[in-house]
Amino acid sequence: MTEADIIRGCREGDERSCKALVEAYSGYVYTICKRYVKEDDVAKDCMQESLIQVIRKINQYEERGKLKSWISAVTVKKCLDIIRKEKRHQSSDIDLVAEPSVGETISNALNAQDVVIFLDLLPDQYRIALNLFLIEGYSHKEISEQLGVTESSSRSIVSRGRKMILERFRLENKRTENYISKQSTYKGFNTKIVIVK
Amino acid sequence: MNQLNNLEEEFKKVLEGISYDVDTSVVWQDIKGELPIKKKKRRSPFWLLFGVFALALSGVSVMLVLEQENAIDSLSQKTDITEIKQSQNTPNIYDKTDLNQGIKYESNAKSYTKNSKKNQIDKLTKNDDVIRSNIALDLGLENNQVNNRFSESTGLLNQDPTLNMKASGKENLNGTYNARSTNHITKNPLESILDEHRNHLSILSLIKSQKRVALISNDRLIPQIGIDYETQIIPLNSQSRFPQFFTELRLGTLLGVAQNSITDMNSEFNEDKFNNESGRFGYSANLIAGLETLNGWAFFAGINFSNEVYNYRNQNIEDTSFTEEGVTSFHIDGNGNTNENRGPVTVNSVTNYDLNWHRQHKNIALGIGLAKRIYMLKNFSVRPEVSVLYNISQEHSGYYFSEDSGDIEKFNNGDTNPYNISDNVKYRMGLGIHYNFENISIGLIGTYVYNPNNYLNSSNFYQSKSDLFSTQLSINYYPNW
Repeated sequence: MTEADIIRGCREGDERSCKALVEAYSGYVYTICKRYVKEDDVAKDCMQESLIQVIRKINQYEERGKLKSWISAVTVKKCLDIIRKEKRHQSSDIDLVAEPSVGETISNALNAQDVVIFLDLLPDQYRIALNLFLIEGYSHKEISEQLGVTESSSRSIVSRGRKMILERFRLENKRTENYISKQSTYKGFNTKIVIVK
Repeated sequence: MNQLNNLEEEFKKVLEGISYDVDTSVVWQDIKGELPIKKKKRRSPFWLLFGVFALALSGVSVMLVLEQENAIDSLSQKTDITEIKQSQNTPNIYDKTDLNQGIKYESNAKSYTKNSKKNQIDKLTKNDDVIRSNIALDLGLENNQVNNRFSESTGLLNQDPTLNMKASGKENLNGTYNARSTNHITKNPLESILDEHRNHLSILSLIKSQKRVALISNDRLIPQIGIDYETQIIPLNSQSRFPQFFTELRLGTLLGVAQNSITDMNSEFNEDKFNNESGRFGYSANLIAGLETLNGWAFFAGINFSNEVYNYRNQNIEDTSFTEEGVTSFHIDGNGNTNENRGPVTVNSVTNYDLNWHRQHKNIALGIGLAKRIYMLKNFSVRPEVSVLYNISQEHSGYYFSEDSGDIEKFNNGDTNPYNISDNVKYRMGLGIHYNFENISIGLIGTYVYNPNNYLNSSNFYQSKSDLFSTQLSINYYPNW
C-alpha cells in the first residue's frame, strides 16, 4: 500500500488504510512525543491522541508537503496541548521559569542515551523550547505562542537551554564503563534507555 | 532560524536519530474504537446479492421461456409436428412421435391453421368463450359444466399418473381423429366425453394448448395444469413471448431534504447558520433494462444519475431601532449661522441580507429492482416498484460549513472538502402510472429514495442526511423478441 493509497483510504474511513498508517507512523509519532513528554504513560497517550488526530484531520492535509512533516506538526501541536492541560491541572505558572538542575550524573558524551537523559532532566519549558527551536525550527514568536509566554521569555528559555547543552556536552568525553540499565516496560511498549555514568 | 553551533547541530542530529520501537498492533487496538472508520464495506455482499439476484432472474427467465416454448409448440400445425415435449407430470409416456404413429394436433378452424402461431394465440384468446360455447353445444352441456368437467377430469388424471396408452391413432384427411386404446387402466369422465365426441377432439386440443389444460394423444389426455380461465391480465404486447425484454428511460426532477445536525458539541460554529439551508430542484435520469413476465412482474437493473442541489439562502431584512444623542433640530439665522439643538434621537437601521450559495451533489448509481404491473383499464396500468441503488461515483461542489473559520466556505469538485466520496447503498420505492400502446409504455413515476448514510465524513463536526423525492417521466419500449 503506497502512501497515496493510505491517505486516500484514511479519507474514506477505510480500516485497512488507517491501520497501515498507524503501523507506519506509530514509532515516529511516539519518538516525537517522547521528546516533549517525560513520562512514558503520558507520551503513550500523546501518541494515541496524535494518531487519532492525524486520521481524523487527514482531509486537511494538503499533498503539497510531505505527510511525515504534516504528521510531525500535528503531533507537536497535540503534545503541547496535552502538556498545557497537564500544567493547568498542576496550576503552575509557565512564566516562572526555574533554573534547571541538570544532573551532575550526566556525562559529557554526546550520544543518544545522554541526550535522552539530558532532555528528561530538563524542566518542561526548557525541553519544549529546545525541541521547538532546534528540531522544529520555530521562531521565538512561535515558541512564545506555544508556551504561552512572552517572546522575551522564550528567548531567555531557549538561550539558557542552549547554554546548558554547551555546558553539558562540550567537555571532553569521559565515558566510563559503568552502565546502568533502566527499562520501562508497559503495555505495548518496550523502551530501553542506557545511562552512561 | 538562528545559527546553531557545531555542538548544537550534533545535538540536533542525535536527537533526530533517536527512535523507539512500538508494538503497533497494541496501539491499533487501543485507538481503533476512536477512529472514524466506516463499517466494513459491503461491496462483496452487495455483488454477491446482485449475482444471486441475476442468477435467479436468469433461471426464472429460462424457465418461463421454456414453458412458453412448450405452450407454443403444442399449437403447431400438423405439418410442423415431429416431436412432442414431454409433460412434466407424465414422465416416460412419449419421447418422440412421427406423423404416422404419434400425437397429432389439429385445428378444425381453417383460419387458425393459415395463420402463424402468435396469431393463433391472439385469436384464441379472443375466442375462448366462443370455443367453450361450441364445446358445450356439441356436448350438450352448459358452459360451466364444460369447465367443471374439465377440472374434474384433469384432477382424476392427475391422481392417476399410471396411465400408459399406446399411441396408435392415425389422422385422416377430413380432420377427424381415429384412435385405438390398447391399455385402458382408468376411465375418467373426460375420456368418456372424448369417446362419445371424437369429432370435437381437435377443438379440445386447441383449448388445451392455449390454456395448458392437457395434451391429447390418441385417445388419452396428458394433464398439464388445472383449468384457469383468468383473463384479467392483458399482456402489454400480446405478440411477444414472455418474459418480455424491455428498456426504459426516465427523466425528471428531484428534491432533496437535507437534515444537518452538529455532532461535535464543543464546536464553536454558530448553529443558526444551518437554518437557512434548503433543497432545490435537481434532475435525475435512469436507464433501465429488464424482463417483464406475463403476469406483470418486472425484474430490472439499470444506471441512475442524479444531481441534488441545496441552497443556502439568507434574504433576511433586519430592522433595528435604538436611541442615541443627536441633532433634534437646527436653526439657520439671517447671517447664515446654524444653531443645532441636541437631544435623544431614534435611529432606525435596516439591514438587507442578500446571501445565496448553492451546493450540488452529483452521483451515479447502479440499481436493481422489482416491479409489478397492475392493469386497471384497457391501456392504463399502475406499477409499484422497489429497488436498491449502489453509488459508484460521487462529486460535490459548492459550499460547506467550516469548523476552522466558523463560516461558510466555497469549494469546487476536487478541492479538499468534508463530503463523503465513498460508496453508499440507498433504497428507492416508487409508484408509476403508465399508458400502454403497442410496444410502448409512457409513464409518470413518483419515487422516494431513503438514504441511510451521511453525506459528510464521520469526523466532521456536523452531519447531513438527505432523502430524495423525485418525479419522472418514463418511456418503455418492448421489442417483439
